[in-house]
Amino acid sequence: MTLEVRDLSLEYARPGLDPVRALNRVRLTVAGDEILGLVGESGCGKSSLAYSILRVLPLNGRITEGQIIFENRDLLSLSDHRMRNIRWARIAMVFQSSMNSFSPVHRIVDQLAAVHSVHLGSDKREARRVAERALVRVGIPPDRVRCYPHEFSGGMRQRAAIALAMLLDPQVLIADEPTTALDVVVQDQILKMIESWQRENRSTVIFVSHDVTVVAEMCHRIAVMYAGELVELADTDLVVTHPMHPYTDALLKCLPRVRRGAERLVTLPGIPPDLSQRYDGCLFQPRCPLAFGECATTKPDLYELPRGQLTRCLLRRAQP
Amino acid sequence: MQERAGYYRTRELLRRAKSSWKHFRSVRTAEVGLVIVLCFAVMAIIPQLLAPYPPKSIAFGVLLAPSWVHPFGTDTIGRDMFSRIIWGSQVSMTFGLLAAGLSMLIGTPLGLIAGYYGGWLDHVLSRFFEIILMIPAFFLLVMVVAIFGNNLDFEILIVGVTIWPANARIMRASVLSLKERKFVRAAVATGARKSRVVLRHILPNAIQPVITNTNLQIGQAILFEAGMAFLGLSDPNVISWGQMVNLGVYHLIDAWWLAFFPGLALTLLILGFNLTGDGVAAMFGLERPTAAGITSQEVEK
Amino acid sequence: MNGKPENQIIRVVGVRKHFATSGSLLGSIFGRRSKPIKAVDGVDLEIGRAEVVSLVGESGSGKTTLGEIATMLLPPSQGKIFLRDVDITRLKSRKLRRVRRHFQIIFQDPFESLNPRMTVYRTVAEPVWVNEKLPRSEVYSRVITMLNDVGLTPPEIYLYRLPAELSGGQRQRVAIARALILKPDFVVADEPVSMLDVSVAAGILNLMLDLRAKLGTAFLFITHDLNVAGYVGDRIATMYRGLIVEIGYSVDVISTPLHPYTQLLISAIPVVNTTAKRARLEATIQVTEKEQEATGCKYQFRCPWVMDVCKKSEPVLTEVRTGHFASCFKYTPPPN
Repeated sequence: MTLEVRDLSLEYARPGLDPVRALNRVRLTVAGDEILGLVGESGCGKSSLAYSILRVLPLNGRITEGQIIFENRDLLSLSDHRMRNIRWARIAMVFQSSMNSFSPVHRIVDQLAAVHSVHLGSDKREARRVAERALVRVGIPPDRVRCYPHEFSGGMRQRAAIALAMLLDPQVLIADEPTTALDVVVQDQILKMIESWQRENRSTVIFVSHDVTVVAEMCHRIAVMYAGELVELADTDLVVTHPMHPYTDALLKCLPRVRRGAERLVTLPGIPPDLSQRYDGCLFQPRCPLAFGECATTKPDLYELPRGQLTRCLLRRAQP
Repeated sequence: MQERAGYYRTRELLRRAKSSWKHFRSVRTAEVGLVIVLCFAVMAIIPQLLAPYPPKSIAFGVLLAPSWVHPFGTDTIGRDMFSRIIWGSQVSMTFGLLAAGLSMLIGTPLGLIAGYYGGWLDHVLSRFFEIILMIPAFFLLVMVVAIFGNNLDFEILIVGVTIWPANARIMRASVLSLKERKFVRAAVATGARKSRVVLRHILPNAIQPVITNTNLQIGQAILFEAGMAFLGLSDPNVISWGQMVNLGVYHLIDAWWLAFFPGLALTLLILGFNLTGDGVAAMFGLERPTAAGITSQEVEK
Repeated sequence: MNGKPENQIIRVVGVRKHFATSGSLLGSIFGRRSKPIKAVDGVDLEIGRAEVVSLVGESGSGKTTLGEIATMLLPPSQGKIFLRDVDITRLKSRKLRRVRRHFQIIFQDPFESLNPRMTVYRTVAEPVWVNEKLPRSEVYSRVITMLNDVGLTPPEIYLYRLPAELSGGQRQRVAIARALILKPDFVVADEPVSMLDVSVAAGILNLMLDLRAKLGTAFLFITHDLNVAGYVGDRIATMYRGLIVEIGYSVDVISTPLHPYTQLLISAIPVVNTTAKRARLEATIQVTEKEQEATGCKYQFRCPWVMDVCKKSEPVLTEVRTGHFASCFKYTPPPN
């Protein structure tokens, strides 16, 4: 086990309004040498979870309870100094729309090289060499390495952002929607790149996305989040063929898929709950097609099922 | 059916009003600003009820220090400062509001035209803005006073007519950025006439930064008036804080209250308007989408 | 192409759109004229009544531009557009405004496409106000009916809300209500669900299909997502660098894509069923500037079957199978 999230709760403060509870006692374990998919729709907390691991939350984010254990230490209790050593060198992240996170007035290769020398104290030439190699590895032609960000297309900038994340050979790579806003062809190449990197280094990848099909193809295990909670966690095969939580099931059923034919998509009524309020019972209950009486009053735990699946649904409660 | 809608409409309006107020308050100092402005507004509206003595009466002792009888002291010819401060708010408030209002009235349509129609019209208008900007309002005022004598109305006019280009440029920039927004193109797609698109879609959205700027211009105008009065160029018949500071400057050491209180009043009033302006600007954030959209009670099945 | 001519609602003929670029200062000193960007470079398309044509392509393919031209939000540099029999490219502004009620557009960003200061009621009522003179009660009932039709029920709750008080899906429904309230013949939907969560998107797609059946509207559905294209489209057209390279019935295009670009797009779709691994084709990176100006087929630099003729001439859309067209020299004899 490489990374363990224990009962993590997170709030975002809002001036003049009630705080929003973005994460509610999330429990998650990620092994080494695996790609874990983190799936959910907007507002479910998946990005918040990613930011919490790296401790790059916005100023109004407050972790109210929980621990994040990495290499036998709780990341949340580390000093800023120690965390800086871990951040990027051991755990790195590709942010959403990273293509926009480069400084426009510096060359791409210089920006990567700067990160290298800051962390490892390398001299300019060595850092430049490593940076160039990293960029070429993600498919940027060697003669374009010295370009400025605006001279790259969106896809190439995203690759550069991935190269930046992989630069220090981290143990854990968190990819937060790395292919949103990219064309399907470019997306495919980037996914291939991440996959082969993970295979070569036997590292851990946490792949955050709202696109279930991408996650299903790439990941070994899938964690599904809804309204700040983990609602399902299992091997990909199991999640896709036998989803144990009604939300996962709905998510799979509402995706149009070319190869499936034109059967009508099933839609979910309603909208996700307002996370500034507190609720009794299951958070998915108002929209759940399988909800029954107790669902509105009893909060389900994460129940473990025979083949290692975890699911937060009262329907699965009485499994042996 | 329509009556039911009326109920919902009032409900929404109330909810939005509550939300606006919450946004206003989210800027902590905005309420302070509002209180200040309201206090001075009350002073300006009913000075006769608030001032303990007639402001022009010279029946009191000369240069008396602040006391319970005369909280702000008396001036060089024996007038009660406290009453004069209260009456002086009239000039400052009207000057500020009218001059800034005039600036918004002139600048908004001109900026709108320049921004929306573009082309040579925009070129000509922009040059016009620049020319007006070059006019030193101050010297213009001096000239006007020299020719026409001291007249508050003229002064308000002059100030309004010289500070409007800032609003026009802001409006123009705002319109330029709005022109390409999708909802404007959607309005065009429905077959709306240009005038409709401009007045109903662009104007209400483009005017927000102008309102914020006008708010600042109120303070600017007040300061202008005070400056003119300080230099002795204002109408001697009106009671103006700037005038009071002018008289008080010679007695900074022996009668500090002569300049201090009018100066404080000016500072507070301008501060009040600026702080309120911050709150008003925050209220414009009403149109930014919230995280969840609407509350869960309204989850429809 | 699609049945009888009298069924055709919208016909795009030979449309090109060139955008002039400003060029470099140095270039203009030396007399080099700036090169125009050929966003749309010769497109013909017909859509029939109640038909949905999905237009698929990457960013930069010109699909959005084509959509804007088809609704005359952008005039074409060349070509004509016929709405029924009227050439709308030739209409003067007043006439054009009157005709606009027959073709509408739905944008990608549900927040941006609504006036943030206008309530739902005013947004949806505006097309009626602009185009018809009806008493208030009549307008009101039409708006209510429309809101019901797009699934915003009970409509009274939504009437006086501002866009910021709605969720993304709700906003998009308002946009659809606005577009369809006058029952236009033709609607361009430019990536209407790309910015929505998948569960919400599914609802919107179903809604559009239902409304199509109910009102008989023709749709041009622009998307980069082939899954969505296949779900909503009766026909699919793939677009590459300003040209339609393939068009045919959805079933055909998906099961037997003809043009190499379409094949590439289909191969790039992730597969959920983990037992069948998909065949992922290799693809090279973007076209360079020099390649942009080369003669011959526009796809030659990425094409796995490129031949000599591809470098010299441009292929045209020809019927390879019944109702299935592709522009590729693999299927059509080169011009001689």
